[in-house]
Amino acid sequence: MKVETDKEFRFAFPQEENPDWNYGRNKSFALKRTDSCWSSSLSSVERDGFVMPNRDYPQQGVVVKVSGKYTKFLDAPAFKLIHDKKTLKLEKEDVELTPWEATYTYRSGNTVLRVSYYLSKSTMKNKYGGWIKFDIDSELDDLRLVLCPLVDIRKIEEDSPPVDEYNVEAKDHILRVQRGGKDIIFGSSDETEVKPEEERWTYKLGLGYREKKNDIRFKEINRKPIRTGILTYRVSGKDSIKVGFACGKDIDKSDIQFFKGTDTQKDLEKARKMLDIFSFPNNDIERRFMKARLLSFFRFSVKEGGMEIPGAGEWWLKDVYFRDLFESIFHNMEVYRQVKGDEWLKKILTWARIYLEDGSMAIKVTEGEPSYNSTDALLLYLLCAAKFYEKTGDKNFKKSMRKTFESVVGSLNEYDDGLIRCRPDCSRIDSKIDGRSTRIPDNWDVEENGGFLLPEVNALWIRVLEKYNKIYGTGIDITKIWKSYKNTFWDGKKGFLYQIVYKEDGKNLEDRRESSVAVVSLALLKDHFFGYEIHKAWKVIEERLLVGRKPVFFDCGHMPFGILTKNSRENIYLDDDQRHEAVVWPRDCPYLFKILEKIGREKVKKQIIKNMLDHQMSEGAVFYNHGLFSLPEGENPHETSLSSNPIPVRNPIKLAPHFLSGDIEVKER
Amino acid sequence: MSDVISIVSGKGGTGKTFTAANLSLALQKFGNQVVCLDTDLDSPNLAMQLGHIPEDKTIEDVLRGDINELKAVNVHGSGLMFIPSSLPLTNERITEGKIKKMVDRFSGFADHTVIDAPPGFREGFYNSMKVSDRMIVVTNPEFQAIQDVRKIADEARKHNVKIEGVVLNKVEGILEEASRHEIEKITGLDVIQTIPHHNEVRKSIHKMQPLVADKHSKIGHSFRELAADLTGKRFRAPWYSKIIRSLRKLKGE
Repeated sequence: MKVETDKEFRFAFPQEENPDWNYGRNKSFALKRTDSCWSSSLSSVERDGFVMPNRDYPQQGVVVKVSGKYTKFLDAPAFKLIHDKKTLKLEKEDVELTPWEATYTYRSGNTVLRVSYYLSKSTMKNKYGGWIKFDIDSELDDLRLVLCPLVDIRKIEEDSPPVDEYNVEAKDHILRVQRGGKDIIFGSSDETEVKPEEERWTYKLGLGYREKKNDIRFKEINRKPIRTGILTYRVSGKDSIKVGFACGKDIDKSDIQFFKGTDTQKDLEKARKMLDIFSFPNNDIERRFMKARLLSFFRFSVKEGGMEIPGAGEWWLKDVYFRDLFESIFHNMEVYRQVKGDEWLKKILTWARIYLEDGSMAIKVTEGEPSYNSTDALLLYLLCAAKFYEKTGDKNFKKSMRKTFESVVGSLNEYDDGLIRCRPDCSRIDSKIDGRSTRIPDNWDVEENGGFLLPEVNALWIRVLEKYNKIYGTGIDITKIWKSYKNTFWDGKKGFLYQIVYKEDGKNLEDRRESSVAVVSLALLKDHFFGYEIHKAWKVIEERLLVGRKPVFFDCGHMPFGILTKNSRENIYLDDDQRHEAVVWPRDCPYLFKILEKIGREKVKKQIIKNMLDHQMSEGAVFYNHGLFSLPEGENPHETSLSSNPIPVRNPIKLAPHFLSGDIEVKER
Repeated sequence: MSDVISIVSGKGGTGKTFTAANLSLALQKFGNQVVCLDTDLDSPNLAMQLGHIPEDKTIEDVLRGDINELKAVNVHGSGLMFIPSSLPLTNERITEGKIKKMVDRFSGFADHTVIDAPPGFREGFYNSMKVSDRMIVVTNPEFQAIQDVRKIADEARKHNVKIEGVVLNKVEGILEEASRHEIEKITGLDVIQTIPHHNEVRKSIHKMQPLVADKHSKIGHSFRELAADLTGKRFRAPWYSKIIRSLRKLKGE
């Protein structure tokens, strides 16, 4: 596959699907804005003479946050060109993408139709919008462009409502579709006709879950968007029609004008300004991919606490998840500082304090009562705060954080060995099957009480105590805790860390399976371990955890891509039961980089970054990173030459694996 | 535990919100974590005075039960946290239970919770008073306004809530005004700070920037002194602030 990179931030892709692993590698665009996203697959489909970009997930289309709830409005704009009462057969050509605009090209003889989609930045409460632009280049006169928006007004997690719940009306050349106090309007056409009709659509990648029958397939989901009405525009020769739309609550005709008036120029200027701060890799393709990665990085945004804060991703998990947020700040602090500024970071770190309770941190920001179950996120938060203070020297911040440090350290420090015990699901491996944490080996006969010791939580703990000592001069004896840590977790014979340890009721159990949590722990404590120990551990990682992938855009063979969460026998991802087994979460990579840097294996790091950039541009949501990959095991319904690559499965856009460390540096000024 | 301070007044327009915003910021500047609540639902100005336009997630959303208290917390650049009130009028009421729940929620991380209470003697005022550890009364040097302060003092006594004193705002220094001595005599309360009727105040409200944010503002210093008194700390204005103010004056700022 080749990617056209002739224009500054514009990349061209063929309009095609990829049947490998049941279309798991299909590409899509995602126009992300604060509290909103518009997305579709990079391929079009035809139905009843209408052409439209396809959707593989029921959460695709235009989804915006209205009164605190993510609500889908537009499923897809369906359109056709008519000449002399006949519908022109539109052949698919390419799709051009920037992080803020998608343009699909179609051809019918000498007639070329380019359809662009743009989601505007919204500054109004509960109101969003954008435009669809049709650029026609034809020798034919008297063409009719017909637009039929497919609408599905529902909360994203819900089923589609029946057609009779909608109120569709055409007035003053505007098409208005209403349901339950929310509406979407389109305008303004030469003729507007109301024609509500139920559709049935199969979203073949569903929620990213799969099932095993004869082969492995994604669990499809069906929804029922409605055809709303017909907007007709007369066009001829070289013509351009820009159709504005607005959706949300209390939508007024004038809102369309506002959103229609926005254009891509501001995005372009902002992008140039942002990119000017950094220096990028020398390789042309890699540089362009990395620039795109940086631009999309700053499009993770939800409004919380009167600020725009990075949300966890798309198409679901859109809210602020604290583990994702602090992983991102921890690994990309300098990038955030340069682009968003210290005050913004300070505000986030201050605001996050309200989500702390009794030695735990809320999992995510929620409208209802938060659930407090993250010990690792809490410690990561303190590390971010400490790192921020060390970089800025902000004395007021230091002063205001002291109480937080004191209360956390006070609430967690209970045992003589200085280590923390906690529930096994209160860290990065938080899945459960039938109420039992997947971290606990099946053959362990233990109660799920507080007797578990997690290596990464305790590694974070040691780092937090070190910072606490350094910043506030507390005099805590870290050496003693480090000794306990090594005695508890280090398997000297193998040269690796245990996945989990249990010490309670006279039992002393260790799980020796190799895991990514051990890699995270090693990275955090890399300066405590001896160099030979890190080398030994790398051997284990290389043999048991490292997963390769063959890049699509770079001319080379298999290269390292990521690490397994667990060296487990369960190596086919189907659903949440396997989400922390032998699967790849790229969020672990920045930790692996720290180990690679320590042992002088920068080349491996560069290869992983390159492979990650390749994934970003060749499968899933272009410019973004999938959060979870399955190994290519099981029966593949449609083999291709790249079938042996890890398969993107859940969470097509995720913040935590969207790291920028490694190949991007702040320019010297 | 959080120290809950209500800023109250007998009538609207005394500068209660101005005091709440500046005092909150001054307390925050001393390294305390402060949360300021705008419970003046009829005339919500706190967020604007802190340079923020409340778009969504306001105290009304919390009162309606649409969101939890934490979701409504906004953060000022200084680290001061505040909960704004919605600009459009709503029918929400602040009951004692609801405000208590809010205050309890913040007690885990706030050193001080400052309540910008509604003016007058309606339900909102009483409910703010009931959850407060202490109150500060803001008034102007007019004899009618001072009668209201007396009423507030009586009510506070009845409910066993301590009044720290009176902030006398918009003082012009003219003969027609009640003097500090007269106010203290009539109300039985100490005047703990005096704020002049100054163009600087109008400008700061217009610029949506509290005067405490200006390191050299004389009025800003008054609020810092007040914050220091309330927390048993000391404040000393920078020795060169007077020179900077003179230079600003010369430059016509």
